[in-house]
Amino acid sequence: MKHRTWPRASSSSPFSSFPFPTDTPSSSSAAKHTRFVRRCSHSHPPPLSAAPSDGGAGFSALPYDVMAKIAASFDDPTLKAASVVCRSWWEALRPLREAMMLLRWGKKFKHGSPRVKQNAEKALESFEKAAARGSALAMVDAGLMYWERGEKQRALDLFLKSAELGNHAAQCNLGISYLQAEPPKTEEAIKWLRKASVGGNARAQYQLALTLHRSCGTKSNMKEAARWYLKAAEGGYVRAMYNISLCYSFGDGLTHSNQLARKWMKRAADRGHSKAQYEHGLALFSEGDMMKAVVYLELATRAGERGASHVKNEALHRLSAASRDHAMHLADSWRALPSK
Amino acid sequence: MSGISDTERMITLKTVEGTLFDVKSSIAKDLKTVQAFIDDSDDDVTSPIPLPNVFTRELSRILDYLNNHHRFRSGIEKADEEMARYDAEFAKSMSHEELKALILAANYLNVKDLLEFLNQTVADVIQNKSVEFVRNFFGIENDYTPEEEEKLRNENEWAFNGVEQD
Repeated sequence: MKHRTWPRASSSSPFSSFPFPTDTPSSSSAAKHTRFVRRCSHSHPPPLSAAPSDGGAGFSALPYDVMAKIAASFDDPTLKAASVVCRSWWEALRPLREAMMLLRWGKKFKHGSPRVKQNAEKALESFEKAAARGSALAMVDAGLMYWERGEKQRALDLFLKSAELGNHAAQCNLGISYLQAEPPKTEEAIKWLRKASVGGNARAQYQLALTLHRSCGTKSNMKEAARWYLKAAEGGYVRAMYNISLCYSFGDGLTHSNQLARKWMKRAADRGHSKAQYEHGLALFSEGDMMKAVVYLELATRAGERGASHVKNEALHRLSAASRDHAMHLADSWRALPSK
Repeated sequence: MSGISDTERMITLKTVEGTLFDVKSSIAKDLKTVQAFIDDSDDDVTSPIPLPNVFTRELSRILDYLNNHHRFRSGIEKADEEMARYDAEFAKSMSHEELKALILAANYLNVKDLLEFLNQTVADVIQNKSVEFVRNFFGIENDYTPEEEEKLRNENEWAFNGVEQD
């Protein structure tokens, strides 16, 4: 599996797909949209909508539309619990519970299940209905389907809606969409990727780092980029692990450290990053650890890394026949560690 | 109309208690309710705009937040670390009552970023917690009888798990 990671001057966006929100926290928000009076002919802005009348004393008295926004990205168990807190929350969250059911149906139609046949149209329909009831996660799912079909504007609209409800996957997707626009809307993209990054979305963190890295005018950009690569790497994002290794290796954006460069390169390699496997194999070769070097270089070769086979052969020369066999066996039975 | 840029204009807002706040129009833009009102008045806003539902304490906090965020955004590196720290402090500095009042004010004034932040703050507390925890934390009284609550929990379960079992 080839990996284009370290930014190149003329690379197109490395992303061909969006993060698929499989088990991200579910999100639902009310069908009841804030009834906002936009045009106002009074002499002052319109008064507040009435809050539920239970004393107005605390969080039980939050208006339904606010409740809905807060709960927009709740997962299933959280939504259930929140629903039972008090009467007004039960009422406020009703549309979201409906949305949750529709969302589940949507996923079944999309992927098929033992009793449900795959049906893209019905999936999209379910997602749209759930989105209409305010489910931020359903908006993302619907948006992804539209994007896959090439209906980019509809996808964008949905991502934006969900992003504004605070959904980090949506913010990430929105940012990526803006980067892919013709011409790219970089500033907007960065704004949304930042929100998702601050919220902990590893893919967004990586993408933000990459974007900052590419607009490589200033030193400060590089420092920030490195920070986000590190966060993404710590969050399990493999490409970020490779890039952060390079940052440490060249002292780019952070203090040079061979040790840390090594650590992260190995981590990326162990998770299947082919360039990292090559680099790590090289490092092992130069240290004289032929057996391990061969394993990584073999993996890199199989993944299509040119140049890896040359070094691999060098290493093989220095191994006994038995060791060679063993190394190949290790390569055959190797499995990538889980990652994001 | 010669060369006075939009950002230099000042808008005056008046809270429930009658306190006046002078706000740069670039900041007022983030108070979308106010901005809509300005747009509808054809930009002719000389007298203070009354905000019948917003108290001084809340408006003051909102303006603080916006001013700081504008400052962070116009700066350069490390801004988002500083901003995150500011946000955390900001959230911590309020009691629940104050937080709730601020949410209502931000909702009314339609201050998108602030509202998103406050909502997220509340959502983070509720996420993955038990019913009891949430009630305790926010001081919400359980207005269900034990029987009603039991029924709801079961009904809830059914609604989510029952019919669709694979």
